[in-house]
Amino acid sequence: MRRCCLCLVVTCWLAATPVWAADPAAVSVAVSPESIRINALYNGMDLTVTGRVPAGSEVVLRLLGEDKTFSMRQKGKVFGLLWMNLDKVSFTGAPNVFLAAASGGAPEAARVKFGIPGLADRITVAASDPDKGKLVGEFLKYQKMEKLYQENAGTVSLGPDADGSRPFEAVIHMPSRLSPGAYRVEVVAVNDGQVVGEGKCSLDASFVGIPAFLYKAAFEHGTLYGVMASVIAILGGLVISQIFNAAKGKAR
Amino acid sequence: MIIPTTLYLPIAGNSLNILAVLGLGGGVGLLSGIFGVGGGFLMTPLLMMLGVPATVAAASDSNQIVGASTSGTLIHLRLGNVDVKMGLLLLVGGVIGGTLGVQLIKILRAMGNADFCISITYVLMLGSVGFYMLFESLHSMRQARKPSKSKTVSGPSTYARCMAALPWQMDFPRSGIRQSVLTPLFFGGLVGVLSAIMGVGGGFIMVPVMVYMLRMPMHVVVGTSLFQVLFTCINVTIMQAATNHTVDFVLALVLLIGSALGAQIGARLGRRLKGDELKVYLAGIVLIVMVKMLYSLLARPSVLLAAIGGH
Repeated sequence: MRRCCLCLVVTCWLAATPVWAADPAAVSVAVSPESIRINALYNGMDLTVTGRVPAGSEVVLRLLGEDKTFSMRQKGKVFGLLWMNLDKVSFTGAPNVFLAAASGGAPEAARVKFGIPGLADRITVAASDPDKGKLVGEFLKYQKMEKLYQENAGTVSLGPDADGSRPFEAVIHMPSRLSPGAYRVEVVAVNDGQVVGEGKCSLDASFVGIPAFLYKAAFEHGTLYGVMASVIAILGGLVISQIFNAAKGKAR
Repeated sequence: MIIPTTLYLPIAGNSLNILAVLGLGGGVGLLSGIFGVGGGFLMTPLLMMLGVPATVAAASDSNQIVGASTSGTLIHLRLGNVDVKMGLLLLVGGVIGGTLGVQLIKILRAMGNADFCISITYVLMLGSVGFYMLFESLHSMRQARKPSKSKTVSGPSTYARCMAALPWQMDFPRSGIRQSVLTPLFFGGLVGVLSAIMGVGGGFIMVPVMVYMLRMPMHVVVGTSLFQVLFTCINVTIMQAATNHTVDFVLALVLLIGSALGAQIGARLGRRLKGDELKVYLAGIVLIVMVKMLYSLLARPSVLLAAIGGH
């Protein structure tokens, strides 16, 4: 059964540049399902986002996970020859997941501003290297390689204009590599290069069944979990050894 | 009805194709069974290629090696290929050496050059062990083909005389050798230090040490190495689970099914190969890993950032 939530958001979160400064209208956004249950058979899933934007506008949509601090090491050359992990670098304010999608007619400037390149402005870097811009660029590249940040992560289709608005439907493919937590979908309506409407909606992901049990065991009873993992591995090895012996005995 | 082939692993934080994990376990288990090495130096990078974070890959691999080496040790025990006395002495040395190695790494990390030392130790160890094994075993294979007249009778080497002069000599009947208790303790300790620095089980260093330093026969070396790897990996699994929460038990279990089957087949295949042939193949694998590591040190990485532990 499809569960939907309808959220109306009127606040504007854009930087006040003249081009983007027009008072954006509220955009209705609904997401289905509003809760992702990660069970043992979870292998990514399609998330449907629907709503209405002002008539004639195109849609840029993005899904963001919670902001967190990423501690990493910068790679550099030692003795001008060997590539090694060197100084510690931390990136703050970056979402753990970022998926973007846009309708076919969405202008390139809007795709860039609300896509992965646009994240650069909100990420702060703590590093000894003075070239912070280069580091943020490398960070975005790293997240893309890990498939945690994706452009064109889904399709956005628009319906016909009616009563001053037009419907849209987007299908976003949620990655199989998904952590439990809160996620939000942000929708921007763009017309003639201007933002004419904005809206957002939230959803959450949680472990259920076996993953929930294992995660709890591993993080709340680490030592016992380690002992049990070793014992079960030994028993597994013994069982397989016995099976092989029995099979060999029969063959003789 | 469609049988699902993917499974979500909560500690790895990703869903993986079970058949791919089984195949990976089987392939590495085969090598483990033939050569008596844990296979961690192969399994961890391959798991990372499947989308498992590095820390989870290394810890879960240790967990599966517990099962695989149990299976391998059992079959080698039945075949009479495990020198339990020697294995226990090496293990005691390994635990002492491992503890020292962990402290050494802490000091190096504080000085800021741990990664450099780890990488260089890897390349030097893999390179020297690989080349020495390769040339020595090729040489002895050539000698074996020559008529017996070419063999010259010579006295014990300086190394053998030094070893014989050490106190607390003890017979190791399963290996057919006599050594001082200090020798396996010392070499076990040395491998313990190196494996703590490199973060691996150390099977690929222990095997050459047993062959060349302790002069044990190759088939007993393989069984004894697996016996020792079993205990080392139990220790690593419990430590990783308790401190870093990076052991994915389900991933380890699926890998184990593949690798235990592979190890059983490998142990039987290993019996069909001659000792020198085994050494040549193992040397080849060690050298391939060394070249891969060297390449990753010399080639510019595609991204100039690396994740730090945890996930």
